[in-house]
Amino acid sequence: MDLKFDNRTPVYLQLIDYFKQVITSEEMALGEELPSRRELASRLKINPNTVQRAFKEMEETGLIVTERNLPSKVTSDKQIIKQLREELINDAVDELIETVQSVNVPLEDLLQLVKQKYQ
Amino acid sequence: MFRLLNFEFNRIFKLLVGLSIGVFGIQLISVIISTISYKESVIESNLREGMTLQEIVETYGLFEAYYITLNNLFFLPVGICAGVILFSIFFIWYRDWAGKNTFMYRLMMLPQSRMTIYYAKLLTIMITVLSLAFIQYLYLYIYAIVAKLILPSQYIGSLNPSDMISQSSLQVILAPDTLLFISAYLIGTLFVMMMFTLILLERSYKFVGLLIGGLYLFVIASLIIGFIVHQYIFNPYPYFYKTELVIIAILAWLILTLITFIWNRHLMKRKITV
Amino acid sequence: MIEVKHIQKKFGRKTVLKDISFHAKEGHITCLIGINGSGKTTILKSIMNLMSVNRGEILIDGHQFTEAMYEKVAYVPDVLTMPLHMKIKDVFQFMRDFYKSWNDQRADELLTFFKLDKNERLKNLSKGNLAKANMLFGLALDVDYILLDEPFSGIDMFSREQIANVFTTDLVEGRGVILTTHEIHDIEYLIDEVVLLNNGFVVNQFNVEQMREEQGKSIVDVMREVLV
Repeated sequence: MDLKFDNRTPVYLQLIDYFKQVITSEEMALGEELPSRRELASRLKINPNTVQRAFKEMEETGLIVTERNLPSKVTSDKQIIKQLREELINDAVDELIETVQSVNVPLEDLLQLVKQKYQ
Repeated sequence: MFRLLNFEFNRIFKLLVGLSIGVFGIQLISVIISTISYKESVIESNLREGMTLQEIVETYGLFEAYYITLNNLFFLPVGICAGVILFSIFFIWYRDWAGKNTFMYRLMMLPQSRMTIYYAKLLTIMITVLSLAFIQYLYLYIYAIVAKLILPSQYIGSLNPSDMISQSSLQVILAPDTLLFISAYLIGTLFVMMMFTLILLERSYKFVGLLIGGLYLFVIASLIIGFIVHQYIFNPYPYFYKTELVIIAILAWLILTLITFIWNRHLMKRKITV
Repeated sequence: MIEVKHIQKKFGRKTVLKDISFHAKEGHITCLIGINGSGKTTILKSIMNLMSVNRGEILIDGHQFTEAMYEKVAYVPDVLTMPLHMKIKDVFQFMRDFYKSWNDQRADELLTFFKLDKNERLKNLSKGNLAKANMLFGLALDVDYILLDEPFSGIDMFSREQIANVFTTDLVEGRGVILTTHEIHDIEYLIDEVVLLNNGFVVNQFNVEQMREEQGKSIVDVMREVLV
């Protein structure tokens, strides 16, 4: 797991973001089992409470599913994943636009650049 | 509590064994020397001069218990033991604070009354002292046998341990009278507790504590000496009757023990730190 | 919860703790941060009733300290607490004899985790291993709270990593931990709460994730603001 934490943003959010990324990029498959909370905490060297919180939120937003006494799994609901992907893309685009707006780039040049860089 | 006592006693056990062996070794040598020198100076030399057995016995008497303990070498190990025990009284506390392992942390964090630490150390010392006294008593039987091996039986008088004790300084630590014996060790216990007071004061208040402790001992010593002086020296005849003296002594012991104990208890529960 | 309320401690003329108040919850890892000499060890010793305070009170789950509480709270100081000549298994026996809360199974698990040998004598252990052993003796007790004094100071990096790792496992989980350090690098992502000490006072107590979320500040950021 390649995850470097930033100490100025909440770790639980960073963990959630990581999973969002990994799931939408299909590095983790639908329905795939997640490592246990303790295992994650140990591997990442973070507080188990933090992992717990991240899991709880992911459960609440339906990203992962936890049945009693079983390890958590990525949701099998393709709809949710699709929504998530859209969300991530939207966020990324918003961020890009916000950043370049201050530089005053015309839209065509921006799109050209994006096409180039996409490879 | 007994677990801690067991633990403390085990720690001192090797010392006890060492002292026992040392005492035996040196005293045995002393007894052998005394006996052989008696054999030479009283028996052999006179026999050579032509005295008969009867004449020797009539002139010098039989070899009695008194001769066994005659040599100063005999009491050297006793003195050494006393010194070592005095050292142990301090060591038994200070070693738990010293150096890289502060065992006192663990002792103070045991889920039992802090006084168990105190009792364990006090009892360990007292048991050690009593054990040594008892061992000394047993050794006397051995020394009697040794003397009997060296000297011809015709010259040997009564060599039982109680005579050995009553005819020498051994009566201080092995008083023949039960009451006296108990009293001696009760006073000894009080002494140990007073030493503990010094130690606990130092550990609670550092140098100031030491001063207070020293002052405390000084005051008590002065009172005792002052009393003795008043009793025997300043008056034309002793001021108190003998029975009164005994009562005074008992009361003094009770009061001092009580004060010392309460003070020590307070220090143990509230003041000592790591 | 361990509540420290307005404690004050003087050593002779010097008032090391002027007015210290904070709380440490069960299931959370609370870290006392301050420079050397700021009284962190004094605070821990006071909580453990190893030292008396001049003023204030300390409550553990609402109660004042009694000797029986040593089955509920464990303290791992920065010095060894057992005689050096003992072997680790001798210490286990000792702890077994005196503490009802001694957990043999966890002790063995910790032995494996820390890679220590039961038959080793304490005096033959390296500094790092000694620190780990010391910590083992405290962690193997089924206590609700564990207090650790500078668990990372003066030991090698690998031992430090191992010790830090222990906090992510179930060997510690669920218990209230208070630890002191002046170096947070190893445990920045492990701690829940931070209590910043300076000059005998608590200058700030905050939840680490909250600070990140609400103010975008790391622990060091807050320290810099407050302590410099």
